[in-house]
Amino acid sequence: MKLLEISDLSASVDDQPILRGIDLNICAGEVHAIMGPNGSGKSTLANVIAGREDYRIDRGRIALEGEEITTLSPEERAHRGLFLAFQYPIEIPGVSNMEFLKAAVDSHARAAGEPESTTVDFVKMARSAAEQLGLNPEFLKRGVNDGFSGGEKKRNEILQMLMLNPKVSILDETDSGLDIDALRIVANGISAFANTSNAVVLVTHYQRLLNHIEPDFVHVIANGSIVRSGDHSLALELEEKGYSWLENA
Amino acid sequence: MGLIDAASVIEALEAFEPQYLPWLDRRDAIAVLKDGALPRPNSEAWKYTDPVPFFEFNNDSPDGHNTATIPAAPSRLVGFESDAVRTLVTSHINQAVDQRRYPLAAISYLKMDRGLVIHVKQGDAAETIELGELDGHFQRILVIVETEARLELIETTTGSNRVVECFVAPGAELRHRRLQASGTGIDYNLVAINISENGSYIFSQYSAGAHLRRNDISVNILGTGANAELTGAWQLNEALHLDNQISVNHLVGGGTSRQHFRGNVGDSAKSIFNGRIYIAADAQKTNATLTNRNLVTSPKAEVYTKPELEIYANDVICSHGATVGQLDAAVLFYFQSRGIGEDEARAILIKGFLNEVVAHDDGRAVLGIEVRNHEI
Repeated sequence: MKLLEISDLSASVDDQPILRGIDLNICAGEVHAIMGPNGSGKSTLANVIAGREDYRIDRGRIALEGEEITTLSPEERAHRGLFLAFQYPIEIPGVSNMEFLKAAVDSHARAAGEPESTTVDFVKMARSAAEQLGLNPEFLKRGVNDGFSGGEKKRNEILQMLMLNPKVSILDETDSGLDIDALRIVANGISAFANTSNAVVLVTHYQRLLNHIEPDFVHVIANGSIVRSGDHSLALELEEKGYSWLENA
Repeated sequence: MGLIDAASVIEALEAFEPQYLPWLDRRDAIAVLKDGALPRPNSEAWKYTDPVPFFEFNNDSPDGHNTATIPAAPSRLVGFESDAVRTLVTSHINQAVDQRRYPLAAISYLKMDRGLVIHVKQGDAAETIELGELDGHFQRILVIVETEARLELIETTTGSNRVVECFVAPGAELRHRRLQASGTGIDYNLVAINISENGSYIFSQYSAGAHLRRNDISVNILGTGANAELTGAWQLNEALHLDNQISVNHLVGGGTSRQHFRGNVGDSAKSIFNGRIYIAADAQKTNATLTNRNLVTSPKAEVYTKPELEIYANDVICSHGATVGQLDAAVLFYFQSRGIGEDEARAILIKGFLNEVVAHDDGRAVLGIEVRNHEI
């Protein structure tokens, strides 16, 4: 089943065209990796899909489970099952991680017409997700990403993903800033989360995360277009040869 | 801004025959006003708040007390009219108030129609006193906390002219919480504090605005090891007005002070903050900080903030910062990407911003921010 369909997508930031005709289909049960050099448009693609307002869509469509989402607000897209793990998670001093998570989970329940979880159930759920990612539950009481190390911030993004249980997760450079142990923990969390009814998109510059989570498809973006798609062996080839041979192709 | 006819204001005050405490010595207050202390519109201290309406209010004769709706003062409080406290009153009154700097307090003194003493003696058990609305248009509260004694004072004011004068003796601690719900009137408050060595004054102020509301706060650090912690938060909307003018005066060295105030200003409300740190020439080893952070959540809201440092000593630690900002679009997007709509995100962010200086649930109630769920 197709979860996410992107066709002929072009987008600009500050009137500067960044994406130029992206086509991408993602089905349930798949893990995709989107790779490419710095400035190629990987993060822009992730943000455009999530609905960031200052990114303008010039052409094309994005559909989630067959329904066009480009006119929906970011929160509506989230309610329909889209999740973006930020490359640079935002620090929000004064708002506790727990309060933020509860507001997020409750908003999803309301949108689905389901009752909000009780505080007791919620705390239990959050603690168990934190433990799965090797995070001390005390971490949930701290301000969102406030004073977190780079690795903690990335784990916090994955924690939010586990709590919201999205259909399509786009993880933007989640591997950057992680040491080897944290990388393994995060990768295990993602692997455990991926199943036959959801899809995960790993946006990454490096191959190292893909040693832990083997993608079904690898796409290379250069200058705002997908210039090559293949299986995991493409990532290994990139590791060896770099990106320039594709950029100039 | 209007003009003040100083001569006629002073003449009326001089001619005023007080029914309340006729024995009080009023000569100094008159002399200070005659000497030109009356606030001038557009002067530095009254740059963004027109002082004239405060005078018009102050010139009104008290129109009788509406005691029916006002609860009696707690029994711990003794009226100035009681012979038992007369010596205490005459020996303390205006010792912490600089009438030249705070001429509205001088006027309030001249027209005083309500005075209460809170006196905590050495060896008294620590206690909490709640001071609600009081009858009287021109109120003076004397708070005397003697050596090593402790007091928590929770003060509620919504629309009044009130001067609270505090004396914190060596090793004593006064915790003062002030809850100012929104009001429709013209509201003047001065808190003036003298802190002796190793004394501690901890002040938390939670405010909504009023039609016009001015809070003057003056702290004198008078001993080594004296400590003042002043925090406050405000949330203003509609066309409400709040002017906080704070001066922490380190007159003796070895003291510490911290000021941290935060406000959120929406609609067409107006917030003014002036935080002054004064360090006298021989007040060495002083440690003083000042922070004021403001959120502006409406294009018509106005925020004026100014740190003011006057330092004459050379061996001190002093820092200050003032910021005015809006909610960041990137932060709002982060919330939205998690399914949290923009309105809810704004409410959570404002609450989080203010919560950094909010430590009391009754304070949250004044600010209209949801009480934090203690389970999470």
